[in-house]
Amino acid sequence: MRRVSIFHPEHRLKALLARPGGITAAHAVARAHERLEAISVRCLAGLDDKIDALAETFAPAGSTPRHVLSAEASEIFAVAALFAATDIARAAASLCDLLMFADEADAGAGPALSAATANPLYLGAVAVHIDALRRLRRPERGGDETGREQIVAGLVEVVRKFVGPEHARAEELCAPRAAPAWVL
Amino acid sequence: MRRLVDGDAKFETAGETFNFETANVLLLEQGAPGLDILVQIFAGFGTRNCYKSVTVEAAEGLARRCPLDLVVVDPALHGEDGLAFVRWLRRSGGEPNRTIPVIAVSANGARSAVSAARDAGVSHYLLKPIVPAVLFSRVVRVARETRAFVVAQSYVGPDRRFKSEGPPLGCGPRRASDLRGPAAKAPAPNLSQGEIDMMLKPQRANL
Repeated sequence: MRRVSIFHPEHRLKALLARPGGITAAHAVARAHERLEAISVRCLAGLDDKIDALAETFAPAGSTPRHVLSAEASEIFAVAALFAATDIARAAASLCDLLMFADEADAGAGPALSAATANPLYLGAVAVHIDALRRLRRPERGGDETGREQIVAGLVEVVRKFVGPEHARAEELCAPRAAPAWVL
Repeated sequence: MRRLVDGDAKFETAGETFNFETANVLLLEQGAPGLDILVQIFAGFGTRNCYKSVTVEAAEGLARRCPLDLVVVDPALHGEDGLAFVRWLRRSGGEPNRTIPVIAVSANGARSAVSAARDAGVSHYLLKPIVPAVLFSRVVRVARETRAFVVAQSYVGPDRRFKSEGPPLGCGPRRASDLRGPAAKAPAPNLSQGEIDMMLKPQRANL
């Protein structure tokens, strides 16, 4: 017979947070932002290495496991979006979209990709994203603001061709998320 | 895609303070700078004891040695599945670590990824980029959560059916389908357990 046990654990964290001597939520969040500001230059500088690592990881023959590429791309996105490197964040999010929907299609849970992931078109789309990330990171290659905007718009369009317009979420991923009102 | 809306985390009361100093927080991320970011955020909250790990094996070692209060895990580690650690923690992590809140942080908002994390036993799933205010509100929420903990053959973790309880206490409605007003009074008294049992008890029909 199968046994299922259900109980209500008391989290020690709840008691710890309620101890005297704490700080307000607004103060805690402000301190976190200060600390993030202090590491922003270092983190953004590290994006070059991350993009290079992504390029090295990517094998055009499609032999690189997708989850490895996803991990690299999401790390680039997380850093760029947090520190307001918007165009790089959008490009990385677009790549995340592409990889994510390939996963969904594999799992049978999402829209069918118009090409199998071993398809040269799909691999080309990934390669284009990686190249775009490199260009956007180097201003001399990424061009002016209009040029950068065109690069990102082109990437989003590439992804839409694969996953359909209703499923491309790069824009939504990069939309600024509101903080809870009580913190502000 | 989860979007934070006004009214989220309204459980907060003005002037309330939170003491993170002695909380033991385990951070399992794929490496710098993700780990750096989490460490700085928790340091800003006042946490002194942040245990950093980039591999599942190291995280398991830490969880065996230290009583933890919170785990923040990125499911997408380099060459590893961060959720493997969550499954291990829930099944073999020992007390009290087995039941502690676990927050997954990921840039992957695909339904399959969120479902996988939920089924591994995470308490909440946060999309990157990590915004300090959002992380703070989630940490406070999971600390105060009264969700049941389920231990079954196929699943160990917080009750996954908490959706049926509606929005968390103090939060406004977040979906169009959420009830907006107070529920009406019941037209009749609740059934007793005996009456419920009678309704569910199979009866032999005499024909």
